Amino acid sequence: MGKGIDNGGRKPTRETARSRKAAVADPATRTRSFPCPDDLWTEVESFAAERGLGSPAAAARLLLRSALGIERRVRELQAARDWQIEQAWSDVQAIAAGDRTFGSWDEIEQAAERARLRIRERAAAQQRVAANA
Amino acid sequence: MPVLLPRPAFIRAVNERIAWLAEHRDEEQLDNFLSGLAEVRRRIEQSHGAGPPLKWSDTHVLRMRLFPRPLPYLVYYGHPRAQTVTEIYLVRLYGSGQDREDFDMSEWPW
Repeated sequence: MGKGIDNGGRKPTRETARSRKAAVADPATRTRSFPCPDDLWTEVESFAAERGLGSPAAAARLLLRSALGIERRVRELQAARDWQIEQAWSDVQAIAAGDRTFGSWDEIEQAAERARLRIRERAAAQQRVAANA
Repeated sequence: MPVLLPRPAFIRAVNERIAWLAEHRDEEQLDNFLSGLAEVRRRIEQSHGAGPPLKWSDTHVLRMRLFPRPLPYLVYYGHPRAQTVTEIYLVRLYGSGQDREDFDMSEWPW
């Protein structure tokens, strides 16, 4: 089953005619055509209607861009996770080799107390500015 | 109950986030971060084996636990591969997409 991406070969609607005009105006935009199962295109049409996107073609473009963005983010996160594991594993290996350098939870508690005081100072300064305004 | 030993890199990462919160957020958000940290500490202490094993050797294993949602942090920890684990090493704290040691907390998402 083959379908053009704009509206499945049916008579152009006002929206698709407009989008074709836009496509002509933008030299980086071309009309694409590819096989698409009926049930998938029906979902695209429903999505377009639910979101008020004007045409299935607009919905298809939005979905493609969104899905590609998600795929890219997943790859970035996977690469980040691999990097994190390598860093953490090198530390575990150092410990296994006898490195017994550890810190203390007090260092964190002290940093938290300093932060609390600083936040209160900032809030008090903002209140003074507001009172003088 | 095993002892949780924080490595310098872990403490540094935690304290950098606390310092950033001190300058850019309110006390409630500082408390959220601190309670998330306390919760993840408690979970690791009580069930260190619940974090998925990520890497291991004959003697040690590396695992990870997430901060409670919606806080986007991961805590990496290791321990000896022993029947009874008496020490757990907290080695790193990272943001979910962090891929370098030095980064700007304002550059969300990381």
